[in-house]
This record gives sequence, structure tokens and C-alpha cells, in this order.
Amino acid sequence: MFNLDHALAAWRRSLRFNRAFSRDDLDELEAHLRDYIEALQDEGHDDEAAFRHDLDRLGLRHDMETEYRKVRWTRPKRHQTLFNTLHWHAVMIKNYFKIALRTLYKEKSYAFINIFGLAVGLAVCLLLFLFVRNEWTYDQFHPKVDQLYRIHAVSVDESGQLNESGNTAHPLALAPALEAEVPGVEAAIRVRGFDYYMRHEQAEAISVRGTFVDPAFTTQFGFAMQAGDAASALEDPLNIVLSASTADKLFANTDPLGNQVSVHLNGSYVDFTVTGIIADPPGNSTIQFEALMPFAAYPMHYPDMQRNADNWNYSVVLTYVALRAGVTNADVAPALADLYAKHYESRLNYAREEYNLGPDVVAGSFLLRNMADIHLVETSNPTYSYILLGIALGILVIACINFMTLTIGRSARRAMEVGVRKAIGAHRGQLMAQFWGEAFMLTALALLLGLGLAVASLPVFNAVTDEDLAWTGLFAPAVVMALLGLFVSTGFIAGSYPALLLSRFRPIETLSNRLRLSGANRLTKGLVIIQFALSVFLMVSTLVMGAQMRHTQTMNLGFDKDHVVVIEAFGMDGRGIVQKLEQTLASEPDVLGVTASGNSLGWSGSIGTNFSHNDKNYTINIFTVEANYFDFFDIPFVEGRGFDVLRSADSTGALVVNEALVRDFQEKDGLLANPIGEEIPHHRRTAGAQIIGVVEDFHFNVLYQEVAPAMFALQNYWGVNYVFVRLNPMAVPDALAATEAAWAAVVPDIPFQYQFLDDTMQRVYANDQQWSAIVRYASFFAIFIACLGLLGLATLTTARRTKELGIRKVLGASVPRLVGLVARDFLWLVVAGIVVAVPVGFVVMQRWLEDFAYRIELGPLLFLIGAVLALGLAASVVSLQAYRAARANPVESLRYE
Amino acid sequence: MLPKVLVAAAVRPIMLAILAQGESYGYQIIQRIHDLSDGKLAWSDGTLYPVLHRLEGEGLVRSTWRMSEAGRKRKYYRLTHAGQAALAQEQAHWFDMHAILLKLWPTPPQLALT
Repeated sequence: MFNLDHALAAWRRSLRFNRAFSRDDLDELEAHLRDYIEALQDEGHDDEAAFRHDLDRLGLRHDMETEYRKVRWTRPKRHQTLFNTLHWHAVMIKNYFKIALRTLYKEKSYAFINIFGLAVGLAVCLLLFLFVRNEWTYDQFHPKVDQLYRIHAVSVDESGQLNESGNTAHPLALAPALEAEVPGVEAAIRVRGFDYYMRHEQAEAISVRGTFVDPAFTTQFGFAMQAGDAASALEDPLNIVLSASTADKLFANTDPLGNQVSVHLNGSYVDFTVTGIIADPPGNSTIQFEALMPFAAYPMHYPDMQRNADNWNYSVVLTYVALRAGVTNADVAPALADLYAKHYESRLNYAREEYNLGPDVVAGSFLLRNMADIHLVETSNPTYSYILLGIALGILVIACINFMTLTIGRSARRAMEVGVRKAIGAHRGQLMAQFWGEAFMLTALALLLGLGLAVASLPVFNAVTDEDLAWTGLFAPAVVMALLGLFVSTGFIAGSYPALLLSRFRPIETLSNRLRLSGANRLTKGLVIIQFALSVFLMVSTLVMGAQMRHTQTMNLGFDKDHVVVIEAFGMDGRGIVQKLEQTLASEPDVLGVTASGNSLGWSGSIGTNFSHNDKNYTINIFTVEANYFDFFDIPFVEGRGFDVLRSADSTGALVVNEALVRDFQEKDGLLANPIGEEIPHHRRTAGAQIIGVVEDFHFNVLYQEVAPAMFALQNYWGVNYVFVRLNPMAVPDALAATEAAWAAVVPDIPFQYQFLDDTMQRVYANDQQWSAIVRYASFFAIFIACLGLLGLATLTTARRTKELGIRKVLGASVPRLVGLVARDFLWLVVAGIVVAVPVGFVVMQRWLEDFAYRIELGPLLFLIGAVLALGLAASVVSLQAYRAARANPVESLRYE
Repeated sequence: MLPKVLVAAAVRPIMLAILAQGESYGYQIIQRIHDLSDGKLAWSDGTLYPVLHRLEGEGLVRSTWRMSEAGRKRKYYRLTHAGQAALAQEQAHWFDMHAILLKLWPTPPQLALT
């Protein structure tokens, strides 16, 4: 059945792609046909006849086309308007976009490697940058940071120079003296913080980092008051200021202002009135607190402090100083030296005599360290920041290099397109614009993706590094500028090869495919070597760091640290608690023992006494212990015996020492050849107490330090601050429950809070673990990006050698041979990278290990593992590509053009 | 039937003249040529449109798309001022030509005699 509409549509379709007719023309012709057919229908013709007659009248298509073409091509040239010019530019740009997208789509895997590689590299770099920036911006949020200092006392050492490190703990009287006697000091603020139990009404107490500070704290430092008056909040000794999160914890729904908080100080709860809420200290603040209490309240609850308020040798508080505007560190230095001389004259004289210095030499003083420098100088190690920045830049450089070589490699395949474009009239400028535009487009895409990846993976990164970095840091002006710089340089270099070289070729050469594209081969090879050198270096570092961390965890420490729970008993009657706990838990089968000590285990530094005799310095760590301490920790005796509670003399006049102490005295003085029954030489405090036993050395310090001299006594030389409970490893939960019940019976007003000893000991290495984690991730990404780059290069190379491989195969080469042929070239580069990386890795890791007193041996095994891993990964990536090319049917590859 | 060459020369003044009588569209113009010439001016319809387009290109006519009464799209052509001037010129040329031929052919051909 004839359908007029269908017929007309078919007729239109037949002309649609004929360039002689515009759509407008077709519309007009169709209208004509319809008019005519209508007229014929009125005369009584049927549709089909009318349609056929009509087409007849329209004339032969050829004639019609000729006439239309005449009009089209001879149409007089319109005046060129700006709009017109823009229009054609837009059309051209649209074409560039279309071609760019088509090329990307056609080579999906390259495009992915190309863009994704740069994005990942950038993301890693940005995260590392954020971390370093956080390190470098520590404490800079204080508006008055330039005027804020922390004071430390320094004295001369053997060289006659003031020793920069000094002591940051000061007597209580220092701050008032600074304000009164040193002009230029606006305020001196004492800071002393500990964990205290706090509660609101009778709710369960929580452990809060409570810090005693002088009232000027809230006005001089940059912590923002969210409620209450900063100037007066800490005026009254019974006031307390809570951090925002502590306020939330203690007061769920009520307004804390004006309410009471009870703080457990020196054995009993004391009521404070909340007079302010202050913002939580940011993660990059040296001063960390959860509640602030007036310093005036401190001596009121600790009689020791009260007694020693004017004792200049009782050094317990950190002291910060705010200088008046315009006053510099150098301005106050003389006054500080005077103050030091006034109170420490004996020390100065001693030092002058000791080192034979003249009376004019400043043998000791107070020095100020600017707030902004504290973190990097005292807490953190700035070298780590530089190393990290180096790694970040290294990864970024690898990613950029990959991006460039891959972009260049891909564009080399487009010589044909350049030829065609030139043949139909493109000039060089247009081609340059096209290729550079394309390179910039890809770069922008990769950078945006990288930024997105960085933001998305920030939570994971924060978890790994145990930091609290905000993604807003990614949009700091410096980062944005750096990104723009990166965008311009990467895009420029990546686009330069096709833009400058390809666009110069004569079309006839590119079209006849006679062009040989060798490209920047030496450069590419060098870049691959650098990439793998860096990757292998990072991988070896990861392995060494991991091995050392495992070593610290599994090393025999000389005592049994497993299944021991530590309960802190600061400010409590530790000894009394232990005795009651022992009685209560004696009948518990799953609790294997209870003991106590003044010190925990696994700390750094020394806790005890320090004295000189005959120009020789002695440091002895003092442990106040329970009699069963050595049994509890399974520490063996070399000679003598342990404490016996039944001998009354043991509780006052007996000491146990470790081998290190005996060795120390033997080496320095030739004393203690036969220690049992002797006193500790030259030591006044323990005069009269006899050594009754010598224990084997055990690692009570962190493993950065060698085992130091130590003495153990029942006598209270040092408070009993830690309670240890050994649990039955087969019934840990039951034993814990029993311990908790016993604790609740013995110390009802303090909640049971415990940690496992091996956990607390491991926490000392948190910094190293953090670093090894960062290096582990960095090395993973470095090798990942390097392999991506290698994959891209291998793909390009095999594509270029398709024909060669085909011919070789036809002539009888086996697949493994072909794979070897292609892979060999690349693997040599990887081997070269390994050769560069291994010595560097050895030196750097040796330096890192020097920090540990007990370290692993740097054998060839770890380096071998790193090298084999890198080589294996590279080989598998390259071989995969080569295998695919070698497996291809030679008929296909030889036809390939 | 008139020879093609002659038609080709005449179609331009004819078109202009028809449009001088008022706005019109393709089919109507072509029908009108048919009617006027009693079918002597035989030219395939499809090739008449390019002539209109060329006139438009020269700025002698202007076109607009509009809806017809039947509800279909139609392209209407209208003479511009330049077109009127061009028509006047064409008229002058044709009258000149006519005068020359009249002098040569004092009497009209006697078709009936042949």
C-alpha cells in the first residue's frame, strides 16, 4: 500500500547527505511537492500517481543538483563578520575536541594509564605535602606567635658553649620572677598538665587531660574562647575552663557555664566552677589540653608544690613567655642571663671550675625558643619532613615524566593525522594549537582527578599517619599556585613534541609513512632508570624499616611483658592499693600476680638520679618496687638475692642493682668488683643501703637506648605510680573482669582504666611506625606509577614493533624468544635502576638504624628481596605486553598498517 | 516549446515580474509561469528554485519561512528595493531587444500558413 508520507521521507533521505542541498532547500522542495500533490489529488489522481508525476516534473536529479550546486558555489562572498570568524573557530575547536576524544577512546588503556598515573602521583604528592605543611605550620595559629616563646635553661658543656638543648622544666618561682624582673616580658605563663579524672555530679568519671595554667593563658595564646570571658575566666583558683569536646562529654545536654565539675586531685575530688568553654586545640598545637585550671589551685592541692614554691632547684613546670610588641629575643637575653646568675650562682661557679672558664664567660642562662620552632626543633625531626618532601617530589616527577613520555609516545602515532590535516590546508600554528590544547586538556583532567583522589583518600591517610589534616589545606594559595605551575609545565612539555616536531613534517612524508619515529630514546631510558631507582630505594627502605619494627616487637627484652595489664595510680596511694589488690586477687585463679613500681617499662630517657664524682657523670635509674617485682617479671639474678619482706632491713637498707650499674662503676672507677654487701659509691641519697643482689640487664628503656644503670629498692625513693597485674593467658577476659571487680572494691571513686603493657611499650615506637607506614605507602605508589609507565612504554614499543615481531615469528622465532627480545631492553633499565638504588638505600638505612641501640644487621637479603620484587614486577608488566604481541597471528600483524 | 537557452535568459525577468505583483512562494510562482506561458515554458520545477536562491543571493529578493493556511511550512519570497530596480533594468533591456527584433521582423510570423 502506498504511503505518501513514507515516500516523501524516503525521497528526503535519498538527498540528505547530498551536499548540494541544504536542509532548508529540502524543506522548500518538500513543501513544493506537497502543494503539487494536493493540487493533483483535487483533480482526482491517486497518491502514488500524483507523487510519481510530481517527481517527474521536478526534473532529473542530476540536472537539479547541478543547478543547486551552481548557486551554492557561486554565491557571492558575504562580508566576513566577527561572528562568522568566531563561528568557524568554534567549529574547528569542536573538531579538535572530537578528534581528541576519539583518540582517547580509541586508545582507552593508554589514556587510562596516562591520566590515572599522573592523578595518583599528584594525589600522593598532595597528601604528603599536606603532612609536611602541617609539620611546618605547627603552632602558627597563635595570632601573637612572633611574641610567644618557651623558656629553657641551658648550661655550658665541655666545649665551653651553651648547650642548646637545655631543660624545659622550671621552678614555680620562675614565672613571677620573669614578670617582675625582666623588662619586656608581658606575661609569663606556667603550664603543667596531667590526666585527671573528672565528673559532673555523680556521673561516672572520665579521664581528662587537665592543664594548670596562669590566667594570661587564655588571652596570650590563640585558643578561641567559645563562651565565657577570656580575661577573667581563670582568675579564681576554683574556676575551670573546659575544651569544647570535654564540655560535650561532661555535660550532655545542660549548659556547663556556672556548673560544677569535680576533679580528682591528690586523692580526693575537688569542685571547680565552669567559667568558660574554649576551642579544642588543633592537631598542630604543641600545647594539648582538655581542661584548663588556674595554676594558683595547683599548690593548694599538692603540698609538695606548696613547700617548694620558692625552691629554685625544684623544676617541674613548663614556662611560656609573651614578650611585649616590638621586644625581641635578643633584647631580653641580658636580663635573662642576670636572672639565671642570681638564682644559680653555685651552678655557674661549678661549671666555670669544671671547664676552666673565666669569670666573664656566660656559663648558663635562660634561653627563649620561639613557639613556631618548638615542634620542629624539639618534638619532631625536620629531616623527616625534608625526606618526605623529597619522596613527594620524586613521586610527582615520576608521574609527570610518565605522563610526558606516554603523551609523546601516543602522539607519535598521529603523524598520519598531521599529514592529512596539512594536506587539506591546516597551517603549522593550527596544529601546534591543537596538540598543545590537547596536552593541556589531558593535564587538566589528570590534575582534577588527582585533586579528587587526594580529597577522597584523606581520611585513610589521616588514619595511617594519626594526624587530623583538613582537606581545605589543599586549596591554600601556595598549593593552587603550585598546581597551576605544574599544569603549565607538564602540559607544555607533554604537548611540545607533537606541537613542535610533528607539525614540521612534510605531509607527503607522513602520508607515505616513510617517516621513522625514533623519538627521545635516551631521555626515556634515563627516566625509566630514575623511576626504578627511586622505587627500589623506597621498597628497600620499607623492608628494612619493617624488619626493624618487627625486631623491636619480638626481641627478647629480658623480662616477660606478655599478658600484663598496667594501671596508672598517679596521685594515689600506690603501695596501699597494691597490697589490698593482692589480698583481694589472691584467691583468683586467673590472676597470676600483682606488683607495682614507680616506673612503667619501655620509656625513653632516664628517671632517677644524676651526679658527678671525680669529673665522671653517673646516671642511675631508680625503681621503687614491690618485693615480688623480679619474680613477677621473671627477671633472673646474676648473684645475690631479691627482697624479702620478712627481713625488716630490706625495706629501708637494701638495694638491688642491674649488671649495667656494676659495669658502669667498674669501668669508670674500678669499683664494685664484688658488689654484694657494698653501697653505691659516691651516692649520698642511698648511703647506708647495701646491695643485696644483681639482676641481669633487661630493657626497661626503649630500644633506642642501651640498658642503663638502674637500682631497685623497696624504700620510697620514688612514688609507686604503676600497678601491674599478670593475667592467665588462657582466660584473659575472666581475669580482667576479676581485676576490675577487685579495683572497684579497693578504689571505688576511680574508674578502672588499664592498658596492656606490650601495647604501651609499642606506642613508644609510634613515630617510627608512622614513618615506616608512610614510606610503605609511598613506595607502593612509586612502584605502582613506575610500573604503569613501564606498561605504557612497553605497549607503545610492541605496537611499533608489531611487524618486526610478525616477521620473526614467520621465520620461526618461538613466543618465549620474542617475549625475551622485547622484555630484555626494559629489564636492563630496571637493573640499572637497582644498581643505583642499592648503595643509596644501604647508606640511608644504615643512618636510620643508628638511632636504635638494638638493631638488625643490614644484610644483603633485604636488598635482594627488594631488587627481585622490582625486577619481577617490571618483568611481569613488560612480558604481559610482549606476550600479547608475540602471540598475535603473524598474518594479522603483517597486514597491520 | 521554447528553446532552453531562451527560457534560461527569460526566467529571471519573469520571476522578478511575478514577485513584483506581490509576495509569493515557490509552487505558486511556478504554477503562475505555467499558466502565463500556456505550457510553452517547460522547465523542470526542481531547477527553478536555484534561480530564486540566486536572486536572493544577489539581494534582489528576500525569503521568510511562514506557516501556510494548510498548516505547512512555506518559504515566501518578496522583492526588495534592489529587486525592483533590477526589474526596471531588465524591462529596459528586453524592450530594447524587442525594438531591435521588431525592426527586423515587421510582421508577426504566420503560423497558420506553415
